[in-house]
Amino acid sequence: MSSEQEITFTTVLRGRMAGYQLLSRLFRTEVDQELLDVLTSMHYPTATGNALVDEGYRMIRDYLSAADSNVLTELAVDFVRAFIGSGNNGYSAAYPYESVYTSPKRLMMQDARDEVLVLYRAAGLAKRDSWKEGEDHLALELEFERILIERTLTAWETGDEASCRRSILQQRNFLEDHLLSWYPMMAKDLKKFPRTDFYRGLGRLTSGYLQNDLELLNELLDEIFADDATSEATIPELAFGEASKTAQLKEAVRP
Amino acid sequence: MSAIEVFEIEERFNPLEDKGLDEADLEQRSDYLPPVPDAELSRRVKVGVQSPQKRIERLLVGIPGQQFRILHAVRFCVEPRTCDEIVAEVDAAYPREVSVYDTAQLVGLLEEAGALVRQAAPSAIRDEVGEEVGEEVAPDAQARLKEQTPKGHAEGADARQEDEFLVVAPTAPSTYLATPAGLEAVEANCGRDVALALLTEESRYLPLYREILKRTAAEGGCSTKTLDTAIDTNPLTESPRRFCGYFLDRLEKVGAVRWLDSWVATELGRELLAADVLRD
Repeated sequence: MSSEQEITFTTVLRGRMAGYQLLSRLFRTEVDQELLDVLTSMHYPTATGNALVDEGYRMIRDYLSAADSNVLTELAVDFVRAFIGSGNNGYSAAYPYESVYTSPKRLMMQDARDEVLVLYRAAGLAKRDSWKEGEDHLALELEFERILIERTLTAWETGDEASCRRSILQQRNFLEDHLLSWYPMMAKDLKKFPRTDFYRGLGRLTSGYLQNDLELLNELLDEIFADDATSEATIPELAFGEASKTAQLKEAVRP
Repeated sequence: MSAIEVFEIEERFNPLEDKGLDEADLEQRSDYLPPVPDAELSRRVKVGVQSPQKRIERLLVGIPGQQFRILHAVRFCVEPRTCDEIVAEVDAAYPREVSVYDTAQLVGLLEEAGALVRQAAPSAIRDEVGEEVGEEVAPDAQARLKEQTPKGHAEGADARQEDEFLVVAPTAPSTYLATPAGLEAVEANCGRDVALALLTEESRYLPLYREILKRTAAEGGCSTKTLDTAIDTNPLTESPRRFCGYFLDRLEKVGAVRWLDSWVATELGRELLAADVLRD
């Protein structure tokens, strides 16, 4: 693969990392001044090819454009309204836990949490003591994807294609088996509970982003990292094919 | 002797045979329910919609002692004001207020209660023509890559060149305007008539109110101790026994006096002092 194309693939991976990092941060805690500064200086693409991503970006941008000086308080209140809620029946907010959406009684710390915990441990990861929530929190699952992408990047840069393929496979599987198995349900709740377009937009953006990423990973695995797809003739062409699609992701996170 | 030789393995053994359960029953009795997309069960709690008057009243009652500060914000918004202007005005008027709600939060609460209405600034949102996406790829490499683009991707690649990006543009901040309900609340709580009505409700105490307002209208206001000494010894307070605090409280409630390290008559208090009803 030529150096230009390598740079493109690297850029795509970096873009995906930044994307997951941003989404993870947005779901983890309330927006603070530092994050607000980043959000207000971002370029929001209008035509990524995914209607949900476009709509999500537009809603977030429109909200921030009309924001007042009390924007941080307003967002903090809406964060609680969206992800914590005020009821105790399990149906009062868009709870960002896989267990809630995959257990019959919508409880936290169920099988899904155990499953992702095993996966984190298998990947050599342990949660920090400062993290007091369940490991199946959406922010952690998104962060896990980011770490896997980072490992892919490292493998790619060191020329270890086998590790690279393995890591991409891990990302695809985790995305399919976990994030996309429950997030669409949470996304429906995210249409109901927040009052600001910021968090409504975040719900749509995340849906579209995950869909896009799954398509990308599938194509990477089917075409570039397929066991027999190693000839010099096929890789460059396909590499740009990915680049053009993943450019959407890269654009999406460009500050 | 192995276990196999001791126990006979019955291949058709059914441990539930004695219970009379068949598989259909078991399915029904299972505790396990597969995850279902039950988003339709999640509902926002519908709170009964109250009139703005009720909501404003609840807001004022819910933050005791802050009603004049809150209503000052409403009164200030007879003309459209930005949030920053309101914050500056109210904080200047009430520099020593101690409340968990800062003025910007109060503006939000007043909007929610229907005392203020937010007016979006004329949209200054601008769409910027985006830069080329491949900024980290050399231009000549991009051109080469474009030539290699499969047909299925060509459209997307072309579109990228013309992509537009949205930015969070510094727009004129939105403004807040007092609603009729908000202004009604101001009138109902801060008006001169309301104060006069409260004072004349117990007309026998008018000399005491006059005394308090006279002392607090003096330069630097008046200390609680001085007022206590002056009022508590007055024969009017003997039966029923009233103390100075009772009168101060009433005057404070109508906004005639304020505590600023000492009791100080407000503009309204000075107006009342000059009113016929309190004149000597």
